[in-house]
Amino acid sequence: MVDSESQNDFANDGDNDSYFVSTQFESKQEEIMEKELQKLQTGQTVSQLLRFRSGISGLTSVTPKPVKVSRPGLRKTGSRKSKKNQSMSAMVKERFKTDKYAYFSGDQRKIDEFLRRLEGSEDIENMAMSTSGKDGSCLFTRDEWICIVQSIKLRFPELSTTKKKSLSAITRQINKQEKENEDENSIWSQARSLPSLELTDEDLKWLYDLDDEQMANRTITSSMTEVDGNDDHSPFVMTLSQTTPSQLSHIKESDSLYSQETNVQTTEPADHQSGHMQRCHSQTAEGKTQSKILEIEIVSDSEEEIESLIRNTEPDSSEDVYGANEVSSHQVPAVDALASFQSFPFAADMIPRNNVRDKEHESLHISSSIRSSPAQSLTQSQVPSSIDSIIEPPCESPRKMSPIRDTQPEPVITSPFKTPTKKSKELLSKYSSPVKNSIHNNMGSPVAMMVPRSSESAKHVEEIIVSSDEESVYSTAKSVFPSAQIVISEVEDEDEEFYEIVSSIPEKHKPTAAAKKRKLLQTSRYEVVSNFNINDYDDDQRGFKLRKLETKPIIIDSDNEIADSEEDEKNLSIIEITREVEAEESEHDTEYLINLGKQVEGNSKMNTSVLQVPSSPSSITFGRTDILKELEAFSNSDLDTDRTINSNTSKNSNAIKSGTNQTIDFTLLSTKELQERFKKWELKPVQGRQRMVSVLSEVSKLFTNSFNDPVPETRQGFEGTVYGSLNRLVGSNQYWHEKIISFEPLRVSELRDWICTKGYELEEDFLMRYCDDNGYCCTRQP
Amino acid sequence: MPRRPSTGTQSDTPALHVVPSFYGVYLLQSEPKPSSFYIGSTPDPPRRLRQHNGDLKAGGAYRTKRAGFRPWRMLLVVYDFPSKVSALQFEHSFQHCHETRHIKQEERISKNKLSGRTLHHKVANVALLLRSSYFRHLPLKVLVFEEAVYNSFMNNKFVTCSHVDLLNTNFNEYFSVMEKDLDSTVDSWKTRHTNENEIWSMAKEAVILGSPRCALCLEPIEQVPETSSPISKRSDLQRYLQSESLPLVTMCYNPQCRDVFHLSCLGHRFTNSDGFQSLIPATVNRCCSCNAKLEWRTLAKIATKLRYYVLKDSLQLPSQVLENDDNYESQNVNDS
Repeated sequence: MVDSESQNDFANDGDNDSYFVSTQFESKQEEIMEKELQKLQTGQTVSQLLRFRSGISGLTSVTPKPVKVSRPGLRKTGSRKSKKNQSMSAMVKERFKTDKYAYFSGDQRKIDEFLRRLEGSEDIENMAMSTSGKDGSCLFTRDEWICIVQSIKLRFPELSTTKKKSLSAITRQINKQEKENEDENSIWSQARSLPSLELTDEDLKWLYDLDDEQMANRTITSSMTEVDGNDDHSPFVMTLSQTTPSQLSHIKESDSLYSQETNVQTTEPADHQSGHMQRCHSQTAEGKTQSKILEIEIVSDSEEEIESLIRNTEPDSSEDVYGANEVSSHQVPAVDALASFQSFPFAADMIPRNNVRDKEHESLHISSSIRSSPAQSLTQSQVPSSIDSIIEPPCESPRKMSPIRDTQPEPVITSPFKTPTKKSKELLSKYSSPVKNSIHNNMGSPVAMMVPRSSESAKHVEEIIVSSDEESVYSTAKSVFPSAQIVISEVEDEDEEFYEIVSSIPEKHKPTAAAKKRKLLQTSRYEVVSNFNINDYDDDQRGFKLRKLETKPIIIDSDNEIADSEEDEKNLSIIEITREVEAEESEHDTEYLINLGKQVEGNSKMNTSVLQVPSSPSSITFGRTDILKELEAFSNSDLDTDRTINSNTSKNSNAIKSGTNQTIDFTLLSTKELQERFKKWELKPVQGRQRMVSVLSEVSKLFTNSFNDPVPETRQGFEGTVYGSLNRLVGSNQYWHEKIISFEPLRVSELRDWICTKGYELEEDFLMRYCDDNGYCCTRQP
Repeated sequence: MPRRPSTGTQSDTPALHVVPSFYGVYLLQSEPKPSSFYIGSTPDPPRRLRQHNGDLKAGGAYRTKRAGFRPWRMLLVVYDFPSKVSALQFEHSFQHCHETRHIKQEERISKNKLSGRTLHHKVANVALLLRSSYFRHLPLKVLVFEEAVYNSFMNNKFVTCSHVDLLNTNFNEYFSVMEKDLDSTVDSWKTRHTNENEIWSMAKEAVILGSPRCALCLEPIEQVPETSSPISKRSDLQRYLQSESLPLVTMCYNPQCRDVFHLSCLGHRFTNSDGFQSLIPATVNRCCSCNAKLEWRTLAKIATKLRYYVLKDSLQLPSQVLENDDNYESQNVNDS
């Protein structure tokens, strides 16, 4: 039973199982069917979508119109592949000759794409232009050139044969350059490289100036005068001559140079000479010998610099001569000539290099003499050693001539020079105090310093110092008039010889953006013992700002102010003047401060110098200190603070007004606002902001003086107040009143002059309008 | 009779301002070509019209000389200008209506040089000028000699509505020199002059011969200046007038009143003291004493003429031709 049961069970189970399985199968089948259906559906949708995609992707993929494919295809390939474009099919031309727009008819995509292509080409052109504008080092990259060429073709499909020729020439050139690019000798590599080291006239002048300065304390040797004679062609000479403040260092430097040269010679003497010759050659046929020069560069890049410099400045012929000279010089040691150039052998060294063309014989003579001149160098040159080992930094060289220097002899770079960011100038300023630089950079050789590409040295020098001479100075002494005691930036000196500006000079390393012009702002603070109600004032033209710093705000009641109350200690105004200075100017400024410090130091023998302007005006003898002068005039003239400072004391003192007045300070308004004010009051427009301000302020005197109404905003209100006060003014005078009421024609100039005596400087135009509107007969007759 | 050279306008000749008895700006129309107009100014319209029409050989009438345009008719005269300069200013503005500063840009009806060539335009421009900020302060009047012009004023085609002191009359009637019109009661050129002569003799009598006081400030009036050195420069004269206290004196020309005033006293009296209005009093005011109607222009004319009369001899001023004052001068000579 059990079995049967079990069998039954089994049968039952089997039945159940088969049933179960069948249902399973069914469901499975259903699932499969469903899946297949889904697959089919998705496939359909995908195919549908694919059609869409193909429609978007463009003409190339799926275009069910075979006839059309060929025609736009032709056109397209013609326009896209520039090379095939040269032979634009005559068939296409014929096809579309009658109706050019037939191609586009009924197909928006074509039009869009055509437009897109046009825009794209224009964009590429623009881009090329902008990039070329950004850095002058490289004209166009290869890709840009290609793009340009393409765009040219695209826009002018029908080019003349000559243009086609020129285009093909360009492409050929590009290809050629591309090939040459690979070995780094092409135009492109050169163009991408930094600009040449040629010094401009300005730089040379700068150099000369400094040189003169240097030479002032020094006995000018005959050789030096010769150097001076070599004006434009001798930038190198000048740089080197700078580096000769002392005989000692100078000899050493020359030694170093020699060591370098001899280094080259000893290591690769043959290459060196051949390099010279080949380099001359390389100007005509480009850069096959570059690799050899590169080798030399490895040995000493300063040497390379010299060569490149000379190569830039000198024509080929002289180069040949030079090479010959050099060769000969090495061969002929003319010791006799040593004496003549002993005093300044270095400059003499440089003369022949630049003057070769003119004085071939002389140069030969000189160079030979120099080559052999210092016995030390000759001996040292025999020893092949590294440059650094030879060079001893000339620490003891006198530094009096460089206007600003460090207090510590340790190599802390606090160059107060505002380094101009131009490449050439940077170079110059870098070597303005060459000795110091040589110390800090441990570069010893001035020749090495000439290298602007040596980035580590350049970085050191590229400091831009925004000097903010921010001195908080308190003066205790009082002058006769208590109004103003101007204390200028104090100058301390820690060293006996060297002066330093104590002010916190923020140092900024500026490694990039060399071409960008920098605004240098100099801020000075003056403490004036008086009450000044100073409005913030910007003078854009002259580039300085005037701010009154927040102190204890003392509002002067102009009516109740007692003259003596100014002596109150509390009445301190700190005026901060921020000045925009030019790069060179700022240098002068610091120089001036140094001088100031020197002067004061000389006068008072004090470490801290306090300059009082009113009591010791002689201290200010510097022509360019406008601010100081203004403040001086200001302080002298402003005996009573209630008085508004007249414009004759200073042009800018309009902003400085004492007392509370309702006058609008028109100087604070922008030019546009001034114009609006003119329009509002229907004043006759005048030229120039200054004049506008004066006109407005004079006119506004008429209503602010009379009553305390707010400033009229309409023409009617304006006329009401101004005419009212003018009428009262004129009516109070019998002479003018009778003139008017008896209808006598007035002469506007006379009326103006008379009104002027009453304190109102009005324009004739305005008075004319006043007369007209009031029925007073007036003429402009002189 | 030649047109007088305009004296007193030179910058350096000392000239005392005297309010002219008549100065007018007139509008002519060509009779054969009615679209042609001419604008001029004169102290003597009848004489000037004869010059234009060629009846008087002397005198410039260049523009109206062209053949085919004569005779010219005078359509209107704007007159009673208080000075020659103001008359010339009006003339110029009238001639250049499209660009004068006395007509505001937005009000202009003559937009350019060639527009505004109809009678209506001319009339409207006169109306515009008369109400301009400048000329409305002047005591101007208008004489209209043609019905059409009068109608144009009345019709006010360009809506330049303004109060114009109009007098519609006939040119020949107004400027009639016929003796028979002398006793006509109508205001005319002749009656005008006789009135002014009467007033002038009255003023001389009251101010110079008497020793009056200003009825307002009660200050005695001394019209006899200390004899001073002759003045030959304008600037000297100005300085003299400024330094010497020689107030202008006028008189109520009501024969029953004849009170004497300082002109400036009256001026202050007749105007608002706050100064917000023009210092020039209204055209017609009431006498402070007798309440008679007084034209300010006449008062100013009396004052300036008295000053001239007193000063010209003591300062030995160069003889100054007062426009259209021959009658006065001769009369004065006769009187004295």
